[in-house]
Order: sequence, then structure tokens, then C-alpha cells
Amino acid sequence: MIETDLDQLPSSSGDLAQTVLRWIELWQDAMNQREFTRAAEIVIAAIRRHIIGTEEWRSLGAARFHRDLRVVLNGLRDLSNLCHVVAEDAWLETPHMVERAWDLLHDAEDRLNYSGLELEFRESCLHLVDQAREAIQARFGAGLYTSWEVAFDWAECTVCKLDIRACEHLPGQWYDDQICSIHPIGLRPLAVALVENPRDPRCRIWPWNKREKGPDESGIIVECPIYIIFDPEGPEDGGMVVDLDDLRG
Amino acid sequence: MLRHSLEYTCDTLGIPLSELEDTAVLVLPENVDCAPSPTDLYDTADSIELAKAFKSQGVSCKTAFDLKVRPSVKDRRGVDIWVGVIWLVQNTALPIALGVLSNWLTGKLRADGSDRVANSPGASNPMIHTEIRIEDTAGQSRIQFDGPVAVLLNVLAALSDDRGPKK
Repeated sequence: MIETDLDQLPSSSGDLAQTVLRWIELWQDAMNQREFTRAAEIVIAAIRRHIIGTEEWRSLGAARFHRDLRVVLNGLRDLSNLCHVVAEDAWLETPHMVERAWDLLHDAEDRLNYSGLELEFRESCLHLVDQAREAIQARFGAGLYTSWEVAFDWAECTVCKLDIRACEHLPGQWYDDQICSIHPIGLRPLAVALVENPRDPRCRIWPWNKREKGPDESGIIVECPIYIIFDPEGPEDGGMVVDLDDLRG
Repeated sequence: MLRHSLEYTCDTLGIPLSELEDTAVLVLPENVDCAPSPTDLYDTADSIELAKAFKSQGVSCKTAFDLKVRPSVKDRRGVDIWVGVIWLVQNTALPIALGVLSNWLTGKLRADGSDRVANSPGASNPMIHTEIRIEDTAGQSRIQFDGPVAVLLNVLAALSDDRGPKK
């Protein structure tokens, strides 16, 4: 329940918090009425408002809450866009729509699961995600994925900037207002493997990805992703509503 | 020198054996036995995390990095877990080391934090690639394991029962 978390904020940030809460209620209304474009627009506006307010909020503490809230808002935008795509009758016959829905369902799922906030509507959101995944898997199977192998010179700790092997910070843990993670320095791609169990399902090879023959008659698959940078906090502009006309082309 | 002995490994790393005094656990690169030189060694993100788990639980653990070697880091974008060589050097630390390892693996199965893979097709049953070496008075035992995490957890539980305090 998001109100519970908002109650933990310092009272002077209450106006901003209540504003975001009202936006989420509006988003729920739009989703219930199956107005998915409007739902996405509402939550994009909320993200922008939140980004503007974050500096003020940061000064009041609760940095982790604000990060989680931003991640959730981005997840709601992804979910709105996903519903917008799969509401199209012929979406499973349209390759770009299938690809976009696949990416969106994983973005939404990762963000809604990532957040430490308790959300009473999380399960109903994830149900929509599951429905889209099941539709894609029923049509195209479990899939084959690319999985790349990279080496990097050293791994920087995002908290103290030292080599992560030299500090006491633990990846995934919060330290004051910062989360510890590994930042690779000096990245070198080594190989790409085809796998059934990828770390990132977004790197999927679709039946329509072009196949070509190499000079030695070997098979080459082109135009499929081998690595996707996924930032749970999303873009600074709050993202955009998916344009179905672009996906039909 | 035997290929899998502490002496051989120290020689490969270019460090004296005395550096390992008071060390209970070593977490070493998977290619520690076959790298042409220390500059060819590589850690993995998983082995870095595991070493930190040992240290945070008070286990005296060292990595090649701690021993003044500077391996690069390899990252494989699959759900499998790669932790290189886990070397349980001190028999007395075995119960707690096995406990930390089991807890860390159980945590990996939950797929939390920034590395969520819960809905990747193989995420519910990831594989782990590791070699566990155990030193005791009877000599060295080695387990080369490439299989499901859940099975390794059973192996570790059996090891704990076998080597833990007898009732």
C-alpha cells in the first residue's frame, strides 16, 4: 500500500507525495477504463513531476524511497504501454509489436518487482504481464537468446569508487542514499553464445530476425540484440507513449 | 609439486605460501590452474560477491586480488553462476564456511535486487560451475561441480552433516 510508505516521509514533503499518489489513482482509473494511452500519459507526467521534486525530497532524506518510487512509476508506464500494444487485434501478427511487447513486459516486471515499496496493486499488474508473456510463448515458444561474455579490467564500486574487491560494500545493499553496484571499467566483449536460459530475456532471437550466410557458408543471424542496458530508474524525460503506427511499419 | 596443491597455486600466483597463514577460505579464479601467467587470470562477478559474503560473515577469506594479483573480471550474461575455485583451507572453519556458501547460494536462487532473473526460463533452476577443494588432515578432497544449484545445496548439506560436530 503506497500510502503507508508515503506516511514515512517527512511532513514537509507531503504535498509532493500526495501529488504523486493522486496521479497513481488517476492512472488506476484510466487503466480500469482501458484508456491505456491516457494511463501512460498520466504516469509520464507523474515521473516528470517526481524528477523535478526529487532534489527537494532528497534534501529531506528517504533517498531509497524516492528511487523506488521512480522505478515503480516507470514500471506503471511500461505496463500502460504494454496494454496499449496488446489491445491491438493483430499484435501477435506484427513482429515489431511482439518485440516491443516482449521488452515492455520484462521492463514492467523488473521494475515492479525491483521496487522495495509495498504495492497493493502489484499482483494485478503482474497478472497483465503474465498474460502477455503467455500469449507470446504460446505463439513463438520459449525462445532462443543471445548471451554475451565480456571481460573488464576492474570493477568499480559505485559507493566508494574503489575496486569492488578492495572495499567492504556489498552489491545490492544501500549505504546512506546510495546503492552499491558493480561498474565495469575497461569493457572488452569476448564472445556471444546462443542460450535457452539468458540472464536478460530481452536479448531474444525472433523467427523474423534475418539469417545470412557467411563467407564460409556458416549461418549468421543479424539485427538481434546481444546486450541491453536496462536502467530501472528510466529516462530523465519520463519516457513516451508507444506509437502503434511506428510498430506497424 | 602437485597441480592442485596450495604450493603449486601460490607458485602460479607468485606469492609465498606464508601469505595464506590464518586464511580459512580462498576464492580463486576458475583458470588458476591453467592460466599461462597471473595476468591471464580472471575473477567473475559471482566469485567477487561470494568472497564478500564470506568476509561479511567473519570468515577469513582471501581472493587473488587480496594476494596482490590483479585479475580482470569476466561476466557471462546467462543465469548460470560461475564462482571459480572455492578452497576451504582450514578444517576448523569448514562448518561456518559451508553455512555461508549455502546461504549465499540460497539467496542467489531468490534472484533479488538489481539482478532479477526470476522469469528467465531457466531461472528457477540455475546451474553453478565451481570447484570446491577441502583440505584436512587426511589430504585434499576436490569436487568439480557443473550442475543445478539445488543439487549442490544438497551436497553441501551432506558435507556439513559429515564434517560437523558429532552428537
